[in-house]
Amino acid sequence: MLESLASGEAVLSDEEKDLGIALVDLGGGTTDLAIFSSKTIKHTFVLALGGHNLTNDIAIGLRAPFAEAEKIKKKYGTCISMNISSEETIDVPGMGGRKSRQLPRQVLGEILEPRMEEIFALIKREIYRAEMEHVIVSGIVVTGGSALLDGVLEIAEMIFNLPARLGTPFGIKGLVDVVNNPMYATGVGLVLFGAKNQSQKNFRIRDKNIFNRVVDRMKKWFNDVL
Amino acid sequence: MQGQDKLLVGLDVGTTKICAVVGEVSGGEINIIGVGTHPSIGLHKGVVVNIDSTVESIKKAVEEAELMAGCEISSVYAGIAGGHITGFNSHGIVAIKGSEVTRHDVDRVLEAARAVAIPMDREVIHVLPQEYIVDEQSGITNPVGMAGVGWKQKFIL
Repeated sequence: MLESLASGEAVLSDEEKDLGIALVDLGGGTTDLAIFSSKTIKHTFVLALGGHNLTNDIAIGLRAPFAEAEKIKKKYGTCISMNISSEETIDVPGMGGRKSRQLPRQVLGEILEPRMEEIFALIKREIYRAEMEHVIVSGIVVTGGSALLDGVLEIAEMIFNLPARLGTPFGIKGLVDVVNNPMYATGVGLVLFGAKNQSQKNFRIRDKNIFNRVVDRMKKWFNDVL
Repeated sequence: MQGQDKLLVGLDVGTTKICAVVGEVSGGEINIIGVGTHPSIGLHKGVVVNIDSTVESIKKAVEEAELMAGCEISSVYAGIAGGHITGFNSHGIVAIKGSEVTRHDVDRVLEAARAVAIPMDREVIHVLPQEYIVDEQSGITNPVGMAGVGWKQKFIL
């Protein structure tokens, strides 16, 4: 089961899939693109850039340990430095026993913004390469763990010049509070896909008993030969 | 799954985390009853680089979901991703026997579209019907019961 297909199952509405939409799944290691139109998938693409690269950029840019960079990204991460006041500071732990430093939070925006722009620009290039730019009239849906980063949607809107929204799983019950998060889009989508396929299977099996099915199969063989 | 065939498990193996979602199907509705996540070790850019640590991570995520949902997980729907997956369009063309399109004709056209030359190291994961064309009439999504002589179908593989 292709992951972008599963995510689409969970976060896109039928109207969006009918009219044409691009789903961008910002994962840890990869960014997946899926274009839906007329209720079917039209194009898929996997870009080997993702949240991992953002963390890496922070680690290098701030000279911080990798694990700390990940924490900083989740807690303070922002892709738009303009929105942050210049007085806001973050605490960056030093590496190898060095003292921690205070840095303005704007620096984070300056690090993350170009990387995020790069990811979306590469996705945009792929959309144009596949000649799908006129198909995605409903806009962009951004999902996956990195979609939670502050300012991602603004950058997506800026690059694609289309409305963007955050994709969270819907159409489910139960532990909705837990899974109502773009991180779980693929997991929930796989369950939804499974449910759909299972009901199809059940329908076919209950249709006829085994003997009739065997006879039918043999009839088909004869028909094929004739 | 202890005889409860209404339970479904989705397993998302990502580069940073692995998450297992347990869903219960009841009367057309899906209840999420368990979620398990664990940081993923052994994957790089969506591709497994260390299979042993990946297996360990998956086991832990599944265990967590099992505890939460109070069930035993024996099979999952797993996702596949990575730079090595590609999609391409294919056509399947068959002649219709009789005057009406039947379920069997749909199966045959799917089979025809599947029969494309792909390299030895690749395999077909999905055949996703995009549209059915019956007698030049395009944009049909469910052709069963329609009349026509020859038809073809567009696919993405």
